[in-house]
Amino acid sequence: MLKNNLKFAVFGLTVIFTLISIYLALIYTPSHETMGDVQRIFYFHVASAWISYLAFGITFVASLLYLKSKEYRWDTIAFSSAEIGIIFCTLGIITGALWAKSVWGVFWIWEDFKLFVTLVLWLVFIAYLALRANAKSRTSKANLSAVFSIIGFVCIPISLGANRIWQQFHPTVIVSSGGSLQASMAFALVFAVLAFTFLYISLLLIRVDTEKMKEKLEKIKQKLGGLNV
Amino acid sequence: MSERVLEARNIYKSFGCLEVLNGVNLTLNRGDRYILFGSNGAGKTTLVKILSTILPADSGDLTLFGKEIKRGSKDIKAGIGFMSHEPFLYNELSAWENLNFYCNLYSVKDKKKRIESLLKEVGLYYRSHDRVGSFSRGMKQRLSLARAIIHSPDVIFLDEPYAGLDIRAQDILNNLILRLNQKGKTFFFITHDIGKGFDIANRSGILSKGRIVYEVEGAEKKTFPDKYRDILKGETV
Amino acid sequence: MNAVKAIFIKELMVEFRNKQMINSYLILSLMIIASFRFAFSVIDFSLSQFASPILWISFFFGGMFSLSPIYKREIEQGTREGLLLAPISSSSIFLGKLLANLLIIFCLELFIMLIFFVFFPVGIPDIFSLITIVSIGTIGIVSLGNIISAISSNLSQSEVMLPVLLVPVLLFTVVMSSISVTSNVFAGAYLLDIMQEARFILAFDVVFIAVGYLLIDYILEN
Repeated sequence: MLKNNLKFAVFGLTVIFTLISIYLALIYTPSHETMGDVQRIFYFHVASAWISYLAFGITFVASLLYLKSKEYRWDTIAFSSAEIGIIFCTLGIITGALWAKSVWGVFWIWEDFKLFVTLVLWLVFIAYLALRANAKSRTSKANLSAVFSIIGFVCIPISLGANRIWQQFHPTVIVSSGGSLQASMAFALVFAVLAFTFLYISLLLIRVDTEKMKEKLEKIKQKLGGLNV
Repeated sequence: MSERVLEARNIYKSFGCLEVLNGVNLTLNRGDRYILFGSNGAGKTTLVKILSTILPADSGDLTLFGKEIKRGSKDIKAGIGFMSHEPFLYNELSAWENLNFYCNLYSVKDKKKRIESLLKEVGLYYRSHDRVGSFSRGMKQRLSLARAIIHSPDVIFLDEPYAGLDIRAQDILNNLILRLNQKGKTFFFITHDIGKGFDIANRSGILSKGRIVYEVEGAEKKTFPDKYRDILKGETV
Repeated sequence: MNAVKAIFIKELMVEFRNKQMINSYLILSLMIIASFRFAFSVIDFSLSQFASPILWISFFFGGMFSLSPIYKREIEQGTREGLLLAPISSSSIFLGKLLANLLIIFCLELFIMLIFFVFFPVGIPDIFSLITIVSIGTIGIVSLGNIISAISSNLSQSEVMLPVLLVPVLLFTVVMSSISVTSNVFAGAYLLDIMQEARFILAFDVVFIAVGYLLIDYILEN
């Protein structure tokens, strides 16, 4: 009972925060001095990117816990988080590209390490999900994807390091993102991140519940199947 | 009284939604020649893999030589031998090199002497330096037997050992089993064929629906084949 | 240690006994470099700029042919359980195979480099630096490649899954930095110039080997 109440509270807050955040981003904050209204996508871009990092962090921690305890519920959390994470990551990249076009005139720029790391993360998510799709049994699916998510997690900061090495020895001129953040904009940004965090948690709760129901259904099916023979 | 070599209690194993072993209980005493029967798909191979520590069980206790098997108990593996219808041999290496490799893995002493004597025993000494890829199936199985016992294990597990063996190889196998058994080695084999191997066993059991449902010892063996047929009929209900 | 040595020698024997293997590697190297050569023949390009990426992409994709059978072959030949039965740790298996694979891929890369310098009339840079950076980068490719190969050998469509899993974790870490450093070498840098970058990549290698060593248990116990 308490669990259900808590869940509804989270869902409720998610809706409220998201609505407020949209208001803040689109209406409340002033237009950017140089970029104009296009800059508003920045709030959701940054929030999406942050949440995708959070999601992968959760996947990483859940994978570690799974390998230690061998309890499937950790594996369920790990991959549910990855499924949601890749959505936010995709959103982050698309919004980032749209923003980049307006600021730098190009959709993509390799030197910007934030874009770079988000792309690597996106590829790791895809590889992780492809791995799960091709696993041969429930245990191997859980074991192998847990190991891979740990490897992937370790490779994210390493790829950041690799990018920095490349930058250091092949310096290019990076156009700065331009302008400092006004107080109202900072507030809108923080709120966007908050709203997206709640959105992530809501989606995660729903996804994990769906998976649990699926497993229950499978067990019942198997019992029935045994009786029919 | 005989020393307990192996004790398995409440072994459960599922593959996904398929429950293969539903609470298997088994004890093996030193010097036993235990043969386990069961229809195809009954879970015999799964059980023998769990008992020989290749595969972990989902739940249950397994004790070998008085020590409980947990993940990563390496030392106990030195006392276990396993022969399956897969020969575990490298086709690119010669018979000698294959046995040498396993000697290195098991830290066998006096390698050269041991390899030589085993190759002679299984009748492959004249082909010591030929690539295993060129061997017939019967020869591979004979070499696999040599590989299985090269480290002088105390318990030897055999998974359908007679499959693919010609008469000569079957005799070599039986003689080897009896000879080693007299030295105190314990044997556990599984098969679905009630004809072969039954004579040399001192204990027999039947695996059905994930459990060992029937066991006999010694003289009661005569009733076994009929009981086996009854149980098999029961499975299709 | 005994186990590592035994597996190392066994891997090399199995690999080199297969006489077709050496020929295949030679031909593979030839095909990869030739493809690049002809692809680039239709455009004007600055050879020194492209030398490094061509070389490393050749190493990467050529290396994958050697990486994929490391664990898959044990499963296909049925020898996997023989290794699991023995009183050796998974880490020994991992190290033994890793070291053997390192040697094999070094040989392959030697072929690729020789053929590369034949096909592409680029000025030969400081050999010592080149060998150093190729070695350091290769250790990274092989160590991570081995662990990913162990993972992919347990999946269906393992041939496809190997590059799918390898690209995100390898390309943007070791390969990218190695390409960067090697292009410096082709532009005329010497060992001292590249030492700092090379040390970073070496650090990556150590991390990959450590991660592989720690996680191999969970992969092989399947």
